[in-house]
Amino acid sequence: MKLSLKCSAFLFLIQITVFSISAQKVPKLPSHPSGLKYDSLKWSVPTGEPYRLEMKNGMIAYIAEDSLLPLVQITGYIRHGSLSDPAGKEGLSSLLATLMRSGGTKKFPADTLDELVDLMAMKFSFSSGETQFKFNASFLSEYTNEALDLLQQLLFHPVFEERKLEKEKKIYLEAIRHRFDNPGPTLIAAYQKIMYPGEESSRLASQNSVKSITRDDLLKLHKNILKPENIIFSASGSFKKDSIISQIEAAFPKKSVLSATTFPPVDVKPAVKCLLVNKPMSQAYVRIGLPLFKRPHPDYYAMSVLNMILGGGGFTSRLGTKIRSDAGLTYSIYSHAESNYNYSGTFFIDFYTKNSSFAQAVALTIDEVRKIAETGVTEEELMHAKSSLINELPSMFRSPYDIVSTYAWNEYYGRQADHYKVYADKLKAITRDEIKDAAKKYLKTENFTFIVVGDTDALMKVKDDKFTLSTMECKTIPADSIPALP
Amino acid sequence: MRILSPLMFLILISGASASDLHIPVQYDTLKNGLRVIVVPDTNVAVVSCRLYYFVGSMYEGPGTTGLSHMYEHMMFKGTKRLGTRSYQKEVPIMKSIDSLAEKMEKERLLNRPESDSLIQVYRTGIFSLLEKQRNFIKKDEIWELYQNNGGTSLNAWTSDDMTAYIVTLPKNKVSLFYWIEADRMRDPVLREFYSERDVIAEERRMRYDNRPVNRYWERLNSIFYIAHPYGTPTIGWMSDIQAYTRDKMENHVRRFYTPDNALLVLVGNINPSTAMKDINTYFGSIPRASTPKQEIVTREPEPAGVTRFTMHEQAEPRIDILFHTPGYPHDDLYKLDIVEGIFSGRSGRLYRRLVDQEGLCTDAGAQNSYRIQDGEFHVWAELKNDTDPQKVEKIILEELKKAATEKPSGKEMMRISNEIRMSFVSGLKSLEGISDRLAWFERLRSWKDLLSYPEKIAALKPDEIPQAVSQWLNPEMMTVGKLLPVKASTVPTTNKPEKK
Repeated sequence: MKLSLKCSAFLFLIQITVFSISAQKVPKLPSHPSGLKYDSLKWSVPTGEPYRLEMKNGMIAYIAEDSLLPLVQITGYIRHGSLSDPAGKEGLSSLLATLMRSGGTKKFPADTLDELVDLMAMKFSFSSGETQFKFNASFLSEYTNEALDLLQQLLFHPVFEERKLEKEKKIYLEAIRHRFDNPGPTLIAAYQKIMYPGEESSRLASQNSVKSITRDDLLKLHKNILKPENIIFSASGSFKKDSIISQIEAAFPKKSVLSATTFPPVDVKPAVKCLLVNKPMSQAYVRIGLPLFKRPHPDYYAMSVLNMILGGGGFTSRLGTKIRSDAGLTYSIYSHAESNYNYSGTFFIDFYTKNSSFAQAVALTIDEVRKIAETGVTEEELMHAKSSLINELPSMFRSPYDIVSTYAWNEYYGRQADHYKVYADKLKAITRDEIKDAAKKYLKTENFTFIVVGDTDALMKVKDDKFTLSTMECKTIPADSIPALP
Repeated sequence: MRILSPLMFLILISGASASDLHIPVQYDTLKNGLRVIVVPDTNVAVVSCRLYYFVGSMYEGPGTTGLSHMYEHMMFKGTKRLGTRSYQKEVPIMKSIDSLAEKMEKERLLNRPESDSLIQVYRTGIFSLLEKQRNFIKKDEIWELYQNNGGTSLNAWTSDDMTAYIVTLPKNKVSLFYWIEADRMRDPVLREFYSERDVIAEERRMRYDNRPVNRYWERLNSIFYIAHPYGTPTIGWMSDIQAYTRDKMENHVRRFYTPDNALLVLVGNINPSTAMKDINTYFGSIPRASTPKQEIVTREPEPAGVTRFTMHEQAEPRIDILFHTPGYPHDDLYKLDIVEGIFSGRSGRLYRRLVDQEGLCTDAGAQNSYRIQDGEFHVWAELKNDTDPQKVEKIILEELKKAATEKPSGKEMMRISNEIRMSFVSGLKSLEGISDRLAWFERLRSWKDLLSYPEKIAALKPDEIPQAVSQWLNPEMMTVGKLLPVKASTVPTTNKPEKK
């Protein structure tokens, strides 16, 4: 391919205005911000419909022109994820993502491809999550033709050069070797293993599974998932919409026969009540979890607001106030109600604290959960949580890129096109009683599963009036035994 | 709240302009010295509001390391009017707390451990007084005000030379930012000081004690800068954190958190004329510092040879080679940006050689960090577990030698030029990105330098580059850090790095 490379003349227009602040009468300011008067702001959630189209090849796309910067940004969601990796081939989707970028294409050997991409300062990346395989591309708009040509090659004509596959496998093996160096990732892996024992969602790539992955495995998986009808695509930037649609339709493959992607069922069924992962450190990393539900679910919005009040709302949440701000026991504590559309998620609380305050922090945390389940929330807390969640909307839809990528994601997860339109109304309708019901139904402290990463000998000795590990039935393992858990 | 490492700095400034960009920057300085930048953008319904104080860990020393970072936390505790039900009733309680804290610090100076019974008595006393004070405290009122009014990206961060307070607000709510920030600048109150001090200690444990690679970085940086306070960790040393008092903090605040040491940047849907008028209304009467800020006069001495540092940790092994470079501004800094480009990226020389050809490493690259005083050029490689670090060091030095003797190719120059343009344009995608870039350059010298930077890069000729390499990246004056796997016979310990 001949590339037309040009160096743009640097022309940066700048308007500088120096103000002259003359002596002026200073108006009286309110004595508190509650006395401030604001102009009304008319803002409504933009709809995705004007940007949505189904291309001739069956691919769904959200496309928006945006000439503010000489830039084009593309994001695509491919219906696939590591949940579908075959047993014994864990790591396959992750390697596919890596090799689609670095393994060369029919037209360009890998090294040539790297040079071309770098020469034009393009950014291409692929990643595999549990239930989504994603690609991103961003490039200067003057290279749109070249970038679309390269993207088409990367997406549909990768060759997975053996030499590159071996190199990337070795790098992957190094990452596996070091995955439990830090306590955070260790805690997450252990938690998944305990909450989803034996399930696809808790599997970890191993030295053996990665070594067993072949070029044929990658080719086969790529052939199965890289079909236009399996992709939801968004593009925004400095281009003409009609022109980019024609270019994409010309570059991407024709409609084909698609076998629908399905993910295996996954059950949340905690294996033990307490797992201690021994890792000598000055702090304990703690996650306390409970099974939740799969979305869509009628209790989701109540749980979402409840979570915001308990620990999802940062410093102003109850846990943030009690454990961090009042007691000074941690730098970070938060709760999270997982929003999972493919299988039942969990509700969990995460924090870390120095070894000597471990029991006190756990006791205070459980106490706060118990309180909220017993007495519910105040009207003031409810209003604050709702307004915080609703007020995030304008920032989610700032640019054309935000709009098209958000709606592409929305459609990928099968949500209604008006999801963001009705989101605020659903939140506003939540009552204190619904919050209390949700707390009673889901936040049962007696069902908590504890995962603790830290110096287990030291932590066993730490006691609080209301909590100690020594009376609990805990399983203790070293960090490197996590993969061996079922 | 975040701590920015010096490495972030380069990301913020590695940019170049692209054709036909128009950024309507409007600039002024109030009579009290507060600098203001406004960049209107009517395509959005929000305004990024950021207040930068030109203070950070470079203004700290023994006993006071990390104070700027601590104050980053304390600014959220309120003022005489915010976060309180009755400030007057809080005052005597805080005095009693300070008196106990002073006694506790005296005991600590006798090297009593934290678990000492006397220390614990004082701690208990402080916390019980704090509980009493909380009857008059409105917890986290600043957060709540911002959140209830649609504030997003609400946060703060500290680096070695700046501290920033940031929030993005709906365009009709910017006056809330003026009210709160002017009040915080005028009348901050250091309430809940000693519980927040414990929070900082937990943050330090999390960031450094229990993250091996960060612990290694902190030590390497403190070895690299032997005289300049850039060697001070932004979060502060643990012993200093544990000895903070409200009095120490108040001295620090009086010196640095004044309008003549601050920059306010607004980017978004805002009318500049109205904004300037409002800013003057809210901030105009806040007095300057009573004594002007003393700039740091210490400079790194000429390196006197090779410095080596090795730590064995359960972490991905790596090698880092650091060189001292001139402070900003200096023409050679732009040349070193080209050198960074030569070494970095998948088609950069280091990745090609160490990862692709030799298969010794998992990644490699370089970073040229601009700093007001005493910059840093950093070459790094992440090693495979069984790789001989000496072999990697030898290859890096070979590549440095080559860069010192051969000019970069035309293709390399084009790649780097494009990379800089792309980085520049990408940095303008967000209101917050524009704000931070302008602020960083204003901190270095002038926000206008952001705009002249691409011209400086574009004007460079390939044959100018080897001179900068040979002058600044001299292997006889380098600092070499090695993070290596835990030796088989070594029992893993915490906080006991081996130092050679």
